[in-house]
Amino acid sequence: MAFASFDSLSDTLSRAVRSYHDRAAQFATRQIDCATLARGLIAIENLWLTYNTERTARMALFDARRSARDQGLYAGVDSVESQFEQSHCQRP
Amino acid sequence: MSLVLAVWLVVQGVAPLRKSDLVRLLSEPAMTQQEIAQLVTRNCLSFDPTDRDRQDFRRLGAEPVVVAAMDGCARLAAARAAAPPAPAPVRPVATQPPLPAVRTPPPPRPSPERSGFVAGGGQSGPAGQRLPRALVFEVRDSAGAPLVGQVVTFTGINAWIEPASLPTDAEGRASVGVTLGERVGYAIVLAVAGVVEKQVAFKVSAGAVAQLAVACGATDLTGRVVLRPDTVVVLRVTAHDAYGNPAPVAGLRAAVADARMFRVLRIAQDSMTGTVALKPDQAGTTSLAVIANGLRQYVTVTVPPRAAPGRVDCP
Repeated sequence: MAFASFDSLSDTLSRAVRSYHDRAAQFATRQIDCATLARGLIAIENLWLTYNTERTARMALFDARRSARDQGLYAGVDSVESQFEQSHCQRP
Repeated sequence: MSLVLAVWLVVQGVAPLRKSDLVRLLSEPAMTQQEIAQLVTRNCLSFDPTDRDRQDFRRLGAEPVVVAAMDGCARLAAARAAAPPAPAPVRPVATQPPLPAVRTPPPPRPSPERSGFVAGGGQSGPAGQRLPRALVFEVRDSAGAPLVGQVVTFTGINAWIEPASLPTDAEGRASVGVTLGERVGYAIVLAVAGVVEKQVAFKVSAGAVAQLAVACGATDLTGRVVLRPDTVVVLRVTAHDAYGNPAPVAGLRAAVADARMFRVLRIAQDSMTGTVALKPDQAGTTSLAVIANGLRQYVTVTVPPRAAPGRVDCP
Protein backbone atom coordinates (compact mmCIF):
# COMPACT_ATOMS: atom_id res chain seq x y z
CA MET A 1 0.00 0.00 0.00
CA ALA A 2 1.57 3.25 -1.15
CA PHE A 3 1.99 5.84 1.57
CA ALA A 4 3.71 8.55 -0.47
CA SER A 5 0.50 10.08 -1.80
CA PHE A 6 -1.18 9.66 1.59
CA ASP A 7 1.66 11.42 3.39
CA SER A 8 1.47 14.19 0.83
CA LEU A 9 -2.26 14.49 1.49
CA SER A 10 -1.53 14.68 5.22
CA ASP A 11 0.94 17.50 4.57
CA THR A 12 -1.66 19.35 2.52
CA LEU A 13 -4.28 18.98 5.23
CA SER A 14 -1.83 20.14 7.87
CA ARG A 15 -0.96 23.23 5.82
CA ALA A 16 -4.65 23.92 5.20
CA VAL A 17 -5.39 23.85 8.93
CA ARG A 18 -2.60 26.37 9.56
CA SER A 19 -3.85 28.51 6.70
CA TYR A 20 -7.37 28.45 8.12
CA HIS A 21 -6.17 29.68 11.48
CA ASP A 22 -4.36 32.52 9.68
CA ARG A 23 -7.69 33.40 8.10
CA ALA A 24 -9.38 33.18 11.48
CA ALA A 25 -6.91 35.71 12.86
CA GLN A 26 -7.69 38.03 9.95
CA PHE A 27 -11.40 37.50 10.53
CA ALA A 28 -10.99 38.46 14.19
CA THR A 29 -9.49 41.80 13.11
CA ARG A 30 -12.16 42.25 10.42
CA GLN A 31 -9.69 42.00 7.56
CA ILE A 32 -11.78 39.31 5.86
CA ASP A 33 -15.49 38.57 5.83
CA CYS A 34 -17.57 35.45 6.56
CA ALA A 35 -17.56 34.32 2.93
CA THR A 36 -13.76 34.19 2.87
CA LEU A 37 -13.67 32.36 6.19
CA ALA A 38 -16.30 29.91 4.93
CA ARG A 39 -14.21 29.12 1.86
CA GLY A 40 -11.41 28.10 4.19
CA LEU A 41 -13.79 25.81 6.06
CA ILE A 42 -14.97 24.18 2.82
CA ALA A 43 -11.37 23.56 1.78
CA ILE A 44 -10.62 21.88 5.10
CA GLU A 45 -13.77 19.74 5.01
CA ASN A 46 -13.13 18.59 1.45
CA LEU A 47 -9.59 17.61 2.39
CA TRP A 48 -10.87 15.86 5.52
CA LEU A 49 -13.26 13.77 3.43
CA THR A 50 -10.51 12.74 1.03
CA TYR A 51 -8.08 12.13 3.86
CA ASN A 52 -10.47 9.81 5.71
CA THR A 53 -11.35 7.88 2.59
CA GLU A 54 -7.67 7.30 1.87
CA ARG A 55 -6.93 6.62 5.52
CA THR A 56 -9.44 3.79 5.77
CA ALA A 57 -7.56 1.75 3.21
CA ARG A 58 -4.28 2.21 5.05
CA MET A 59 -5.03 2.45 8.75
CA ALA A 60 -4.30 -1.22 9.38
CA LEU A 61 -0.72 -0.50 8.32
CA PHE A 62 -0.26 2.72 10.29
CA ASP A 63 2.92 2.89 12.33
CA ALA A 64 3.15 4.86 15.57
CA ARG A 65 4.26 8.01 13.78
CA ARG A 66 1.32 7.98 11.37
CA SER A 67 -1.12 7.16 14.16
CA ALA A 68 0.12 10.13 16.14
CA ARG A 69 -0.05 12.39 13.11
CA ASP A 70 -3.57 11.17 12.37
CA GLN A 71 -4.67 12.15 15.85
CA GLY A 72 -3.01 15.53 15.45
CA LEU A 73 -4.82 16.16 12.17
CA TYR A 74 -8.12 15.11 13.71
CA ALA A 75 -7.59 17.58 16.51
CA GLY A 76 -6.59 20.25 14.00
CA VAL A 77 -9.74 19.84 11.92
CA ASP A 78 -11.80 19.80 15.10
CA SER A 79 -10.24 23.12 16.11
CA VAL A 80 -11.18 24.59 12.72
CA GLU A 81 -14.80 23.55 13.12
CA SER A 82 -14.88 24.87 16.65
CA GLN A 83 -13.50 28.24 15.51
CA PHE A 84 -16.03 28.47 12.69
CA GLU A 85 -18.91 27.73 15.07
CA GLN A 86 -17.71 30.55 17.33
CA SER A 87 -17.46 32.97 14.41
CA HIS A 88 -21.29 33.00 14.07
CA CYS A 89 -20.89 32.98 10.30
CA GLN A 90 -23.54 31.12 8.34
CA ARG A 91 -22.49 27.58 7.61
CA PRO A 92 -21.72 27.14 3.90
CA MET B 1 -4.99 3.79 18.46
CA SER B 2 -6.48 6.27 16.07
CA LEU B 3 -9.65 4.24 15.84
CA VAL B 4 -9.99 4.29 19.59
CA LEU B 5 -9.53 8.03 19.54
CA ALA B 6 -12.17 8.45 16.90
CA VAL B 7 -14.75 6.45 18.76
CA TRP B 8 -13.62 7.87 22.06
CA LEU B 9 -14.07 11.43 20.91
CA VAL B 10 -17.64 10.99 19.88
CA VAL B 11 -18.95 8.87 22.68
CA GLN B 12 -17.69 11.07 25.46
CA GLY B 13 -20.53 12.46 27.48
CA VAL B 14 -23.24 14.03 25.37
CA ALA B 15 -21.02 16.41 23.41
CA PRO B 16 -22.66 17.19 20.08
CA LEU B 17 -20.94 15.62 17.10
CA ARG B 18 -19.01 17.78 14.69
CA LYS B 19 -18.87 17.11 10.99
CA SER B 20 -15.31 15.83 11.36
CA ASP B 21 -16.59 13.18 13.79
CA LEU B 22 -19.31 12.03 11.42
CA VAL B 23 -16.91 11.91 8.49
CA ARG B 24 -14.55 9.73 10.45
CA LEU B 25 -17.28 7.42 11.73
CA LEU B 26 -18.78 6.99 8.28
CA SER B 27 -15.44 6.32 6.64
CA GLU B 28 -14.27 3.52 8.88
CA PRO B 29 -15.89 0.21 9.73
CA ALA B 30 -15.83 0.54 13.52
CA MET B 31 -19.55 1.22 13.84
CA THR B 32 -22.61 0.18 11.88
CA GLN B 33 -24.88 2.81 10.37
CA GLN B 34 -27.46 1.91 13.02
CA GLU B 35 -24.94 2.57 15.78
CA ILE B 36 -23.92 5.87 14.20
CA ALA B 37 -27.59 6.86 13.98
CA GLN B 38 -28.00 6.05 17.68
CA LEU B 39 -25.02 8.23 18.51
CA VAL B 40 -26.42 11.09 16.46
CA THR B 41 -29.79 10.74 18.17
CA ARG B 42 -28.16 10.66 21.57
CA ASN B 43 -25.52 13.37 21.14
CA CYS B 44 -27.05 15.46 18.35
CA LEU B 45 -24.93 17.69 16.15
CA SER B 46 -23.00 20.87 16.81
CA PHE B 47 -24.15 22.29 13.45
CA ASP B 48 -27.19 22.49 11.20
CA PRO B 49 -26.33 20.31 8.20
CA THR B 50 -26.51 22.14 4.89
CA ASP B 51 -27.16 20.54 1.52
CA ARG B 52 -23.40 20.44 1.02
CA ASP B 53 -22.97 18.54 4.29
CA ARG B 54 -25.70 16.05 3.38
CA GLN B 55 -24.09 15.48 0.02
CA ASP B 56 -20.74 14.83 1.71
CA PHE B 57 -22.31 12.33 4.10
CA ARG B 58 -24.04 10.54 1.24
CA ARG B 59 -20.72 10.35 -0.60
CA LEU B 60 -19.35 8.55 2.43
CA GLY B 61 -22.22 6.08 2.32
CA ALA B 62 -24.56 7.52 4.93
CA GLU B 63 -27.74 5.47 4.84
CA PRO B 64 -31.25 6.84 5.40
CA VAL B 65 -31.18 5.82 9.05
CA VAL B 66 -28.24 8.19 9.69
CA VAL B 67 -29.75 11.01 7.63
CA ALA B 68 -33.06 10.58 9.48
CA ALA B 69 -31.25 10.82 12.81
CA MET B 70 -29.60 14.06 11.67
CA ASP B 71 -32.94 15.45 10.54
CA GLY B 72 -34.53 14.47 13.84
CA CYS B 73 -31.75 16.25 15.67
CA ALA B 74 -32.26 19.39 13.57
CA ARG B 75 -36.04 19.34 14.19
CA LEU B 76 -35.45 18.97 17.91
CA ALA B 77 -33.10 21.95 17.92
CA ALA B 78 -35.61 24.05 15.97
CA ALA B 79 -38.44 23.09 18.33
CA ARG B 80 -36.34 24.07 21.33
CA ALA B 81 -35.50 27.40 19.74
CA ALA B 82 -39.16 28.10 18.95
CA ALA B 83 -40.61 26.90 22.24
CA PRO B 84 -42.32 29.63 24.33
CA PRO B 85 -40.82 30.37 27.71
CA ALA B 86 -42.06 28.16 30.49
CA PRO B 87 -45.15 29.64 32.24
CA ALA B 88 -44.75 31.04 35.69
CA PRO B 89 -45.67 28.54 38.36
CA VAL B 90 -49.23 28.88 39.63
CA ARG B 91 -49.36 29.59 43.31
CA PRO B 92 -51.81 27.30 45.10
CA VAL B 93 -54.45 28.94 47.27
CA ALA B 94 -53.57 28.26 50.83
CA THR B 95 -56.52 26.77 52.70
CA GLN B 96 -54.63 25.30 55.58
CA PRO B 97 -51.16 25.58 56.93
CA PRO B 98 -48.73 23.35 55.12
CA LEU B 99 -47.49 20.24 56.80
CA PRO B 100 -44.04 20.57 58.29
CA ALA B 101 -41.49 19.36 55.83
CA VAL B 102 -39.67 16.20 56.74
CA ARG B 103 -35.99 16.68 56.09
CA THR B 104 -34.37 13.60 54.61
CA PRO B 105 -30.72 13.58 53.65
CA PRO B 106 -30.22 13.45 49.88
CA PRO B 107 -29.22 10.02 48.61
CA PRO B 108 -25.49 9.67 48.00
CA ARG B 109 -24.58 10.32 44.38
CA PRO B 110 -22.00 8.47 42.32
CA SER B 111 -18.80 10.44 42.02
CA PRO B 112 -17.28 10.73 38.53
CA GLU B 113 -13.83 10.97 40.08
CA ARG B 114 -14.18 7.90 42.29
CA SER B 115 -16.26 5.65 40.03
CA GLY B 116 -15.06 3.69 37.06
CA PHE B 117 -13.92 0.38 35.64
CA VAL B 118 -11.75 -1.48 38.12
CA ALA B 119 -11.21 -4.82 36.37
CA GLY B 120 -11.56 -6.46 32.99
CA GLY B 121 -10.23 -3.60 30.86
CA GLY B 122 -7.35 -3.98 28.46
CA GLN B 123 -8.44 -7.35 27.17
CA SER B 124 -8.48 -8.32 23.53
CA GLY B 125 -9.71 -11.23 21.54
CA PRO B 126 -11.08 -12.51 18.27
CA ALA B 127 -14.37 -11.30 16.81
CA GLY B 128 -17.41 -12.98 18.30
CA GLN B 129 -15.56 -14.34 21.33
CA ARG B 130 -16.51 -13.78 24.95
CA LEU B 131 -13.72 -12.14 26.92
CA PRO B 132 -12.28 -14.45 29.56
CA ARG B 133 -12.47 -11.96 32.43
CA ALA B 134 -15.56 -10.11 33.62
CA LEU B 135 -15.73 -6.35 33.23
CA VAL B 136 -16.22 -4.73 36.63
CA PHE B 137 -17.51 -1.21 37.22
CA GLU B 138 -17.28 0.24 40.70
CA VAL B 139 -19.51 3.03 41.97
CA ARG B 140 -18.44 5.20 44.89
CA ASP B 141 -19.64 8.49 46.28
CA SER B 142 -17.50 11.60 46.67
CA ALA B 143 -16.29 10.39 50.06
CA GLY B 144 -15.11 7.14 48.52
CA ALA B 145 -17.78 4.94 50.08
CA PRO B 146 -19.14 2.18 47.84
CA LEU B 147 -22.74 2.70 46.72
CA VAL B 148 -24.84 -0.43 47.09
CA GLY B 149 -27.83 -1.06 44.82
CA GLN B 150 -26.86 1.65 42.35
CA VAL B 151 -28.08 0.58 38.91
CA VAL B 152 -25.35 0.56 36.29
CA THR B 153 -26.35 0.41 32.63
CA PHE B 154 -23.90 -0.88 30.06
CA THR B 155 -23.98 -0.25 26.32
CA GLY B 156 -21.78 -2.06 23.86
CA ILE B 157 -20.55 -0.75 20.52
CA ASN B 158 -19.33 -3.73 18.54
CA ALA B 159 -19.85 -5.71 21.74
CA TRP B 160 -22.63 -7.51 23.59
CA ILE B 161 -22.97 -7.08 27.33
CA GLU B 162 -24.57 -9.59 29.66
CA PRO B 163 -26.46 -8.41 31.63
CA ALA B 164 -26.97 -4.96 30.16
CA SER B 165 -28.08 -3.46 33.46
CA LEU B 166 -27.70 -4.48 37.08
CA PRO B 167 -27.43 -3.01 40.59
CA THR B 168 -24.10 -2.80 42.39
CA ASP B 169 -23.31 -5.37 45.07
CA ALA B 170 -22.20 -4.84 48.67
CA GLU B 171 -18.81 -3.61 47.42
CA GLY B 172 -20.40 -1.13 45.03
CA ARG B 173 -19.45 -3.25 42.05
CA ALA B 174 -21.33 -4.42 38.97
CA SER B 175 -19.78 -7.25 36.94
CA VAL B 176 -20.77 -8.09 33.38
CA GLY B 177 -19.62 -10.44 30.68
CA VAL B 178 -18.46 -8.99 27.36
CA THR B 179 -18.71 -10.75 24.03
CA LEU B 180 -16.78 -8.99 21.30
CA GLY B 181 -18.71 -8.00 18.18
CA GLU B 182 -18.25 -9.22 14.66
CA ARG B 183 -16.05 -6.44 13.32
CA VAL B 184 -12.28 -6.28 13.57
CA GLY B 185 -11.00 -3.09 15.15
CA TYR B 186 -12.23 -1.94 18.51
CA ALA B 187 -15.18 -2.59 20.78
CA ILE B 188 -16.33 0.09 23.19
CA VAL B 189 -18.32 -0.46 26.36
CA LEU B 190 -20.06 2.49 28.01
CA ALA B 191 -21.17 2.31 31.62
CA VAL B 192 -23.64 4.79 33.08
CA ALA B 193 -24.42 5.09 36.78
CA GLY B 194 -26.46 8.18 37.59
CA VAL B 195 -24.51 11.14 36.25
CA VAL B 196 -21.33 9.10 35.84
CA GLU B 197 -20.46 7.82 32.39
CA LYS B 198 -17.22 6.00 31.57
CA GLN B 199 -15.95 4.04 28.60
CA VAL B 200 -13.48 1.27 28.01
CA ALA B 201 -12.11 -0.10 24.75
CA PHE B 202 -11.16 -3.61 23.70
CA LYS B 203 -9.17 -4.61 20.66
CA VAL B 204 -10.93 -7.04 18.34
CA SER B 205 -8.88 -9.23 16.03
CA ALA B 206 -10.01 -11.57 13.27
CA GLY B 207 -11.30 -14.94 14.37
CA ALA B 208 -10.16 -18.32 13.11
CA VAL B 209 -9.96 -18.49 9.35
CA ALA B 210 -13.18 -19.99 8.03
CA GLN B 211 -12.78 -19.53 4.30
CA LEU B 212 -10.32 -18.75 1.56
CA ALA B 213 -11.14 -16.50 -1.35
CA VAL B 214 -9.36 -16.73 -4.70
CA ALA B 215 -9.62 -13.82 -7.12
CA CYS B 216 -8.21 -12.85 -10.45
CA GLY B 217 -8.12 -9.09 -10.74
CA ALA B 218 -11.45 -7.87 -9.44
CA THR B 219 -13.21 -11.17 -10.15
CA ASP B 220 -13.77 -13.66 -7.35
CA LEU B 221 -13.29 -17.16 -8.66
CA THR B 222 -15.97 -19.58 -7.62
CA GLY B 223 -15.91 -23.06 -8.98
CA ARG B 224 -14.68 -22.59 -12.54
CA VAL B 225 -12.36 -20.25 -14.39
CA VAL B 226 -11.12 -19.98 -17.96
CA LEU B 227 -7.53 -18.72 -18.14
CA ARG B 228 -6.09 -16.80 -21.03
CA PRO B 229 -3.42 -18.94 -22.71
CA ASP B 230 0.06 -17.62 -23.47
CA THR B 231 0.23 -15.40 -20.42
CA VAL B 232 1.08 -15.50 -16.75
CA VAL B 233 -2.02 -15.36 -14.58
CA VAL B 234 -1.75 -14.07 -11.02
CA LEU B 235 -4.42 -15.18 -8.57
CA ARG B 236 -4.90 -13.31 -5.30
CA VAL B 237 -5.67 -15.37 -2.21
CA THR B 238 -7.25 -13.89 0.91
CA ALA B 239 -8.47 -15.47 4.12
CA HIS B 240 -11.54 -14.52 6.11
CA ASP B 241 -12.98 -15.44 9.46
CA ALA B 242 -16.58 -16.56 9.99
CA TYR B 243 -17.77 -12.94 9.96
CA GLY B 244 -16.00 -12.01 6.73
CA ASN B 245 -13.18 -10.10 8.42
CA PRO B 246 -9.86 -10.34 6.59
CA ALA B 247 -7.38 -12.59 8.33
CA PRO B 248 -3.68 -13.26 7.75
CA VAL B 249 -2.88 -15.81 5.05
CA ALA B 250 -0.57 -18.53 6.35
CA GLY B 251 1.17 -21.46 4.71
CA LEU B 252 0.00 -20.73 1.19
CA ARG B 253 0.47 -23.55 -1.33
CA ALA B 254 -1.08 -24.46 -4.65
CA ALA B 255 -1.32 -27.80 -6.41
CA VAL B 256 -2.41 -28.68 -9.94
CA ALA B 257 -4.04 -32.00 -10.71
CA ASP B 258 -2.65 -32.18 -14.24
CA ALA B 259 0.62 -30.25 -14.50
CA ARG B 260 0.57 -30.48 -18.29
CA MET B 261 -2.18 -27.87 -18.49
CA PHE B 262 -0.41 -25.19 -16.47
CA ARG B 263 2.35 -24.74 -13.96
CA VAL B 264 2.51 -22.89 -10.68
CA LEU B 265 5.31 -20.41 -11.39
CA ARG B 266 5.60 -18.81 -7.97
CA ILE B 267 3.83 -18.27 -4.70
CA ALA B 268 4.21 -15.18 -2.54
CA GLN B 269 2.47 -13.84 0.52
CA ASP B 270 2.55 -10.88 2.81
CA SER B 271 0.70 -10.55 6.10
CA MET B 272 -2.82 -10.41 4.65
CA THR B 273 -2.68 -11.52 1.01
CA GLY B 274 -1.10 -14.30 -1.00
CA THR B 275 -0.54 -14.59 -4.72
CA VAL B 276 -0.25 -17.62 -6.96
CA ALA B 277 1.21 -17.11 -10.43
CA LEU B 278 0.13 -19.66 -13.04
CA LYS B 279 1.54 -20.29 -16.52
CA PRO B 280 -0.88 -22.08 -18.86
CA ASP B 281 0.94 -24.49 -21.17
CA GLN B 282 -1.60 -26.69 -22.87
CA ALA B 283 -5.29 -26.60 -23.64
CA GLY B 284 -7.52 -28.63 -21.35
CA THR B 285 -9.31 -28.68 -18.04
CA THR B 286 -7.93 -29.60 -14.67
CA SER B 287 -8.28 -28.78 -11.02
CA LEU B 288 -6.29 -26.30 -8.95
CA ALA B 289 -6.17 -26.63 -5.17
CA VAL B 290 -5.24 -23.50 -3.24
CA ILE B 291 -4.22 -24.38 0.29
CA ALA B 292 -3.69 -22.00 3.19
CA ASN B 293 -4.50 -21.78 6.89
CA GLY B 294 -5.34 -25.48 6.84
CA LEU B 295 -8.14 -24.93 4.31
CA ARG B 296 -8.42 -25.88 0.65
CA GLN B 297 -10.21 -24.02 -2.10
CA TYR B 298 -10.68 -25.92 -5.35
CA VAL B 299 -11.04 -24.21 -8.70
CA THR B 300 -11.70 -26.02 -11.96
CA VAL B 301 -9.43 -24.40 -14.52
CA THR B 302 -9.88 -24.48 -18.26
CA VAL B 303 -7.15 -23.41 -20.66
CA PRO B 304 -8.63 -22.90 -24.14
CA PRO B 305 -6.62 -23.54 -27.30
CA ARG B 306 -4.23 -20.73 -28.20
CA ALA B 307 -5.68 -20.39 -31.70
CA ALA B 308 -9.23 -19.76 -30.52
CA PRO B 309 -9.24 -18.75 -26.88
CA GLY B 310 -12.86 -17.46 -26.94
CA ARG B 311 -14.15 -15.95 -23.71
CA VAL B 312 -11.73 -15.97 -20.80
CA ASP B 313 -12.35 -15.02 -17.18
CA CYS B 314 -8.82 -14.28 -16.20
CA PRO B 315 -6.97 -12.06 -16.57
